[in-house]
Amino acid sequence: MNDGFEMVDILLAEDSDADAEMTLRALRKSNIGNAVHRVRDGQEALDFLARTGAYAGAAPSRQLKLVLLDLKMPKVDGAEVLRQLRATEAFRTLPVVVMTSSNEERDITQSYLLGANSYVVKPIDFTQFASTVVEIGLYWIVTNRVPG
Amino acid sequence: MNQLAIEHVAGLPRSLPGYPAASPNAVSAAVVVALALLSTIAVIAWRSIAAFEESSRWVAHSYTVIAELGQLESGHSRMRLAWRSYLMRPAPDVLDDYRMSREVLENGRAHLDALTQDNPAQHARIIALGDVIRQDIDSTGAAIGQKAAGSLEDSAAILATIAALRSNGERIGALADEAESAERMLLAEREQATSGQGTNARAWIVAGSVTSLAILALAFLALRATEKQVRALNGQLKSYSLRLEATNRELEGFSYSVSHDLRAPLRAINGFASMLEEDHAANLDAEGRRLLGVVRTNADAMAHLIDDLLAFSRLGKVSFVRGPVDMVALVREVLTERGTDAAIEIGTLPVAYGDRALLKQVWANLIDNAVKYSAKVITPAIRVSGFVHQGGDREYRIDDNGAGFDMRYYDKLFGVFQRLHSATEFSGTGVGLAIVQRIVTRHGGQVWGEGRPGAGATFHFRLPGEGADE
Repeated sequence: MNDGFEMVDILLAEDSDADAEMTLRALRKSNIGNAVHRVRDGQEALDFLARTGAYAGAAPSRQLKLVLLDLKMPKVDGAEVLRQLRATEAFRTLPVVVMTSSNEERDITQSYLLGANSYVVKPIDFTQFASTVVEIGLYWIVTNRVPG
Repeated sequence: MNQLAIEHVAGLPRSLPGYPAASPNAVSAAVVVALALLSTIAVIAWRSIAAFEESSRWVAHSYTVIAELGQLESGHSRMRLAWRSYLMRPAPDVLDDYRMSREVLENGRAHLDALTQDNPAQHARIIALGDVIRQDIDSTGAAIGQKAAGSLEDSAAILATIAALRSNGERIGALADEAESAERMLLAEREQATSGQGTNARAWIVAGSVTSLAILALAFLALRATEKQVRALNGQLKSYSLRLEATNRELEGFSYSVSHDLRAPLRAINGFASMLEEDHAANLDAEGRRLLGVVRTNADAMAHLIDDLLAFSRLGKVSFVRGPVDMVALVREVLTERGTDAAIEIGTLPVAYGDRALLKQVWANLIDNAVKYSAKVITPAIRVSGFVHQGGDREYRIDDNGAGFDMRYYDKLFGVFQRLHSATEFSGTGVGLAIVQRIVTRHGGQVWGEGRPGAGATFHFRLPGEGADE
């Protein structure tokens, strides 16, 4: 993966290995999972995007089209990642889809106020979960257009 | 979720310890006693002042009598001087003087006669005095007449006349003195009485003022004590409400982490069981696939439990709008949404005052329960009805002829996740009645039920009428 950073088109920020594995599996099965990079917490997500910390010196991901962001993560939570992304010129228009277990009204409201493009509650049923992930991937990678 | 903890916290303000409020009856009694005391003292003070005034009048009366007696005596002296002078030297001005002083004497006697009507002893003296005065006037008048006629020129005869009339004059002086000293004794008595009554009146006025001040002071102390109590109670209430808020925040945090953290492992269980099924089905025999199915079914069941639990905990947060609610329309709405083919008879349902959405939830849960538990009966019969209590409270009930329940387990009926039937008999998570109870309690009402195994169940709920506060 180390040399493939410039090819990454989906950044998956997810601390749960199980959720990450299920997400990656669903994306791979629909052939849009080749250029997904997974980070385990908010700090790593910020490092990856800004090429700091462990990612210092790596080539920028020019293909990046989507961030799949969990809200509850260690170190830096999803809301904070979103806040910092939207405060950075380069990532102001980067599509961010919040994918979380929380169905709480305040999380939904806060995410949209912070500039999320979409908010999805992870379904508990695996079939639904897989189809939701695939729908999101197809829509944001294939259908959606972003500036530049 | 800890149902008991919620009930306990909600019950706090009702059981504030240590401050017995003064009963309104005690306050009224104290005011009545204070008023009675003050008015009694006022009446007594008024009476003693009146008595003081009365005896003061008698003192003044005695002074008047004494003054009149003095005038009478001085009138008498002048008259004596006048007639004596006339006998020596008859001149018209001396005669005028005589007449004037005689008039003074007569008026004085008349005044005294009137003034002493109330006092028989004194009046007798004045009558005696009057008799002597008349004699004196008659005899001195006769002497003046003789002198005027010129028949009394001899100085020896004049001196004899004067000497003859002296005794009358002396008796007048003596009688007047006697009357005066009697009146002075009376005056002394009266002055003493007056001064006693004055002291009395003063004492009662002072007593009234002191009592008023004492009552004021007591009222002030009582007020201050009450204020202190109210302040202490307020402080206590504030601390309770702070604790309540903290508890609510804790519960919110709890339900948040339930929503987030409990779902994730469930999703993994479900997901990995599915992946195993998808990818390795060929390696599994029928029993292996059945076991996998059990894993997934249970994961689904737990997902439902979590969703119901969250729905229950969110009830505490939803806003509450109270208004008149047409319960018949509400029940019809629930039935239409359910599309249930169970026969449900709708009796009289009085208008309720409460939150429409929450009351709809109550009917939905009660009807769902009734339908569910009577589904195995050949002819299910469900009936809803209600009536208005005398005080305006509304009571509603729903009867079914379904599976019923054993009253021995009644205390579990309204608990969260408490079930009286196994999941294989009837599906469900055991949250429905807990939600019903929570909503009804929030309306200030009560919910209860009765049942017998195999003989159906009845649930009642009672809501306060219009004008009741939350």
